Amino acid sequence: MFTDTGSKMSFPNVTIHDISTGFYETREMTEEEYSALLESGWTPEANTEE
Amino acid sequence: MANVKISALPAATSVAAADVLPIVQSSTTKKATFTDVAGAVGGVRVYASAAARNSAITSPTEGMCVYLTDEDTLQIYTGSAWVAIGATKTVSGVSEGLVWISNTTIGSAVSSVTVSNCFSSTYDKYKIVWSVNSQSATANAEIYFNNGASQYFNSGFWQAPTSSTVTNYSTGATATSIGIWGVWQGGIAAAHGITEIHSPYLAERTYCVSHGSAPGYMWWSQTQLADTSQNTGFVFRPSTGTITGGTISVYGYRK
Repeated sequence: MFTDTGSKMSFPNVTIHDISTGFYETREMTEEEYSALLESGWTPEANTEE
Repeated sequence: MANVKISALPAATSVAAADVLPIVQSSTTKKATFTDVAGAVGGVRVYASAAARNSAITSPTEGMCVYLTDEDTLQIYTGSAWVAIGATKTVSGVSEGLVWISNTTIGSAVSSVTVSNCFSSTYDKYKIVWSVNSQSATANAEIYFNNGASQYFNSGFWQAPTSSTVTNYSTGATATSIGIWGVWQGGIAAAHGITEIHSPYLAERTYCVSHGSAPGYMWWSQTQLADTSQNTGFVFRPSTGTITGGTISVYGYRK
């Protein structure tokens, strides 16, 4: 996983902006989103991997 | 000659040049008073079209101002032509060219930025201008389209700003479905780039041409998405690590 603090695993953030509705947020990724991100080829930087 | 209030003019009859208050003053035109200008707010003559305007005003003088309802334009006569003032989405000759669609601010420590519903049938060609304030690692800048499942082809070249050596690269069809179109160097200052995109929303191949720079790299690249799916948005991200701050702006080229 991205990082493991011992009590709670954390994931990188994601910014989402929907132009049609104006919806706009930056939040922590869900585990499902993070898994999809890894599958698409993105890699965590070396010093944050477990 | 006495001043004439535009608002006092009849609405549906022909009007002579001498009866229309020029907005631009010259030594030979009438002087506008505050009352005239205030009256002009509701008194600019309105015509259904340029043809109707030309029929009503056969000898315009410099500074005349009219409004055309078919184009929704406020126009002023320059002495040789009627020229639209300001811009609307439908004005020919005024807002043609690049039209701003959206700005997205990149959040803190994000691994991706999703911009949805920025592509539509309104435009066929787009420009994305992005800047990243900082990054956690040396990475490629990547973009992929929301319905582009596969078949990205990438090639280009890059160069260090302190070197004359140019390095070519080509990814072929990337297995990860990601369009690679830039490189930035992690940990130092900002990076920025521009991508021109042709037909992301059309059911045909999508073509991209990019260039950009960061403190350690300058790059130029092209990407083809052989997948002909229609795309309504894209994801911008580093190939590794996270990015913080900056802006992604999307513009459309008016057809």
